[in-house]
This record gives sequence, structure tokens and C-alpha cells, in this order.
Amino acid sequence: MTTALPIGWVLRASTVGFTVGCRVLQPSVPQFGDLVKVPVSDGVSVFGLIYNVQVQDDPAVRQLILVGEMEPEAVLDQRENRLVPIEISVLIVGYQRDKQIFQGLPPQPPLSLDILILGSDADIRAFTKSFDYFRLVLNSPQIPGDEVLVTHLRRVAEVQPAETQRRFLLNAGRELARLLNFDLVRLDNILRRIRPVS
Amino acid sequence: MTLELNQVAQQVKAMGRSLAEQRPRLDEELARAQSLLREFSTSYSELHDRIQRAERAQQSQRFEWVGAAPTQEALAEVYPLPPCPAELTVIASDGSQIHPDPHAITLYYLINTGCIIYRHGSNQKPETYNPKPKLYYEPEDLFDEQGRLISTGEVNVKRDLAELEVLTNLGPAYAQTVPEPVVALMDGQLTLRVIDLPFDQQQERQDEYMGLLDLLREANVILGGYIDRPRSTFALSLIYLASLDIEQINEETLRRNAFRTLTDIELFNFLGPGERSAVFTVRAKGLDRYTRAGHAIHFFYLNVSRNPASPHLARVEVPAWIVTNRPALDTLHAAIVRQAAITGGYPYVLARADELAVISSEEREAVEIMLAVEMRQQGLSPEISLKQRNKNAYRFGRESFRL
Repeated sequence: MTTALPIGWVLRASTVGFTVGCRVLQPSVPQFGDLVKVPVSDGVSVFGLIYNVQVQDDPAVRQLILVGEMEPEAVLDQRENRLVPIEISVLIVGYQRDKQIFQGLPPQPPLSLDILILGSDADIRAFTKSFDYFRLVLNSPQIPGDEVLVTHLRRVAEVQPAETQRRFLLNAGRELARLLNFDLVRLDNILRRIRPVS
Repeated sequence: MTLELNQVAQQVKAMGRSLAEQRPRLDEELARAQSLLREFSTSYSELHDRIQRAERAQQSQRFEWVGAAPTQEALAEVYPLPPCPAELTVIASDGSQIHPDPHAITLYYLINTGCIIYRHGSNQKPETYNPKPKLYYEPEDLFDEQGRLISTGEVNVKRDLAELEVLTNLGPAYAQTVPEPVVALMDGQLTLRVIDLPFDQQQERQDEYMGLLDLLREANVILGGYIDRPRSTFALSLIYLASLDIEQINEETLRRNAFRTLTDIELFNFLGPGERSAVFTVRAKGLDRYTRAGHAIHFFYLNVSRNPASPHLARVEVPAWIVTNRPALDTLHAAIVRQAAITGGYPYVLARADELAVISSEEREAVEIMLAVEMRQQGLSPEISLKQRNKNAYRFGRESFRL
């Protein structure tokens, strides 16, 4: 998770989230739950979590499916040569001004055609030093917040030093317990899935 | 809305009735034409005699006799789908253009070409190739010696040459490097349409074009021109001659073709999925140069559909050197059907080449904006004509109230 190659470009944005257009999905492009970053102006970057990846409609692809005579070369052509439109939806969880990271909504959203890049390991470690952004994820309507958080935390744990991975997950679990103490079923569902391997 | 749809609606009803009323007569004519096709299926010498008489009869006329002539294949025969090589390369190119517009901010034209190389059986991503788009703006590009602006027909000729040039750059290169047969497909007829050019340029451009065809022939590239939903009547012109006694063929009878409301694809509606018709030669005086250069234009009709209930006939044009090479002809036949199967009736590579070449209205607008910015930077004043400005204002600025 160290690539800084542009993954896509912002199509539309608001203060709480934005959507990025990109070409075909590759293993190297961001996945559901990844922390991503959009540099928006000098020294300012917006951080977000991917909560949806959508393959858009395309009449040519629809026609190929209806005909059903799929050749591997045509599939590769559609996936790798044609601009198959893919939209990645991102929930904004914080921003960085100069070196300082703030968890919460930024003063301004990204603009159209700003570039989306995958957060580096250093970005991820720096951003996840505190867990104030959990509330934003858990309280965002119309996104699968619990699923986003589980996938995100598992991936973040992987970039922590081996000796602190367990402590990181325990701390995250404590914060979740504090936020979800009114909904034990929901809390249990998340904690069981991020439990450190002993 | 300025079109009075209620007025059109009545005429549409009358049109529907007329189409239905014509059908029995058309079916009768078609049955007669197909009966003649079977009757004269192998009467090659009788048909050639009639063609010669028709050509002589038309010699004194402004319009020559244009039609099909038989080759060595029985006219009413169907030729089944040959096996397709498991590995096969199909290359297609297409072109697009922005024509010069006297009402635009300045005079220019632009030609863009796209090409795709699809290797069946390779499990590899097809290669796509977009040569650099070419912008023409110098006075010698835009005007002839009398100061006349280049016509759209002349721009189209340049585009057609650019399309074939891409095939001649890539086809021979692939034919040398890959073990499988290489097929090159063009969208449309194989001949260069030079009728809009000044006479001296017609020969020059045709020589250039045939030089490119020579390169494909020398490299053993299997060339075909694909015409979707053709309205051609070459075979029916021949069948009409068959319907006349040879002594009856004269200027007068040639003007009254009994099958003029039919098309060749109706004549060959008996072709089953994957089957092709016999190969015919196109007889037209304007094609003599192609014949002399060894590229005599031939064609066959091909049902590219896999569904017996919904046939889809295309015309495929091939040069003489493909007709005399039966394995090449069979490979082309099989390649087109295989390509069309991917999309359900149209060669995949042609659809993709079009996509790669096409200049969208947004792209055209972007070119105009770039030009306007550059002209301003050079101290020039880019302005569209008043006519265009008013058209834009009235066409795109109007509020629309719909029922």
C-alpha cells in the first residue's frame, strides 16, 4: 500500500463525500475499505474511506452479454482497452493541513478532476493514531459503515509494526465499545471480525 | 417544436398502408427473380453474352451498365461456412474527420484514424493503434489553384487513403511476424470513391490507393470490405438481363428494370446462418483500373447471423487475388462470421475501429476551443459567422414546451 500513482479523478463531491471515476479495476487500485487521499491545494489533502465501487452501465458490454459469444480476447479488450467507467464512492473522514491531521469534515470538498491516490503506509499510520473518525463512519446513513470499518481496520492492522498490531486492534475495539455500548449485537458483530489472531 | 406532428401522423398511416399493399407484388417479383437465378445458375456464357450486349447498348449513353457478372461459381448455390482457423489475426481500421466549415472560427480540417488488431485464439488483449490525428490548415491544404475550398468529397478521399494506409502499415508487419493467417477488414466498399475530385486528381489518388492494395497483396494479407445492410442491386441487374431475350436488350429495355424495387439481399434471402452466395464480379467502367492492376472487385453476400429466424445479410467485397486463392476466401468467410458472432451481427473489430476513430461533437468542440485560445494568443479574433451564431441561438437557446 505504498503506491502514489493516480487512481482516478474526482467526478463530483460534497463536504461529506465524493465520487471518483476511473478505468478498469486492477488488483493495484483501491479496494473497499481502503484509506485514500486527494491532494486539494497547497499542503492540504482530504482523506476518505472507500465504501462503494460501482461498474457503470455500458451499451457495448450489455450487447456482448446479450449475445453471449464471449471470447477471452474480447473480454480483455473491453476490460483493458476500452474506458469501462468505474465509479468509486468515498466517505470523507478527515484532512491534513501541512503536517497536521484532523479527523472530521474538511472546510472544502475536493474539486472536479482532483486526483485520487492510495494512502501510503505512513499516511495510514499517521491517520489512525486516533479513532475520532469512527463516529463519522458508524453514523453515516446509506453506507455499509460496519463493513467499511471491519475491512479498513483489518487492513490498517497489517501496516502496523508486528509488535503493535494486537495493541492497535484492541485499542480500536475499545473505542468501538465506547461508541456502540447501546447496541451490543452490532458491537459484537464488529469485534468478532476484527479480533486479533492470538 | 416546428414540425407539425399531427400533420405527419396522417401521412405515416398512409405510408404504412402503402408498404403493406406493396408486399404481395414484391413477393411475386422476388419469386420470379429467384426462379431466374436458379434457371441461369450455371448458364455462364448466356449471361456473359447478355452483359456484353447491355454494355454495348449503354456505350452511347451517359450512364454505363453496372451489374454483376458470374465467376466460376453456380449463381443459386449456397456455400456453407468453412471451418475457422483456431488462431487467426483480424485487423480493422476506420477513419473520421472534421470537414472544413466556412461558418466556423477559421478554416481547417482534421482526419483521425483508429485501428485494432484482434488475435483469435491468443488469449491476449487486442492491440489498438491510433496514428497521430492530422490537422490541415495551410492554404495549399485548403484551396486549389483557383482558390476553391477543398470539398467534403476530397477530405473523404484523404480519410479513406489514411484508413488503408494504416492497414498497409500493420497488415504486412503482422503477416511477417505471426504464424496464423492475417485478415484485414475495411468498413465499406473496397474502391476509392473519387467522383468528387477534379479529373486529374482522380487518377493520381487511385494510383496511390492501388499502390497500397499492392502492398497488402504482396504480404498475403487477406483483404475484405464489409458493407452492412447493402441496398445494392448488382445481382438483380444481371437477373433482369437473364429475364430478357438477348435481342430484347437495348437502351429502352435497360431503362425499365422489372426488379428495381428489390435489393440483392432479398434475392439471397435463402442463405442460412453462416452461408455465403456465389462470388460475382462487379462490372462497371469506372473499375477498369482496378481490373488492370489485378484488383478486380468481386463480392459475395454473407449471412452473418447464427439465428435461422433472423438472417442478417452483408455484402463482402474482395479483390481478384482473394477470389483465386480459395483457402484465403474461406478464411475471410469464416473470420467475418466469427467476428460477427461476438456482437450478434456486425464484426467486432469494425465496431471497435469506429469507436477508436470517431470524433465526437464534444471533441470537435474541444478542438475549436483550443483553436480559439491559440488565435487569441496570436492577436487574432476568432469568430463564428453570424449565420452560425443565429443558428446556435435559435436551436440551442430556445425553451422547449412539450405536451
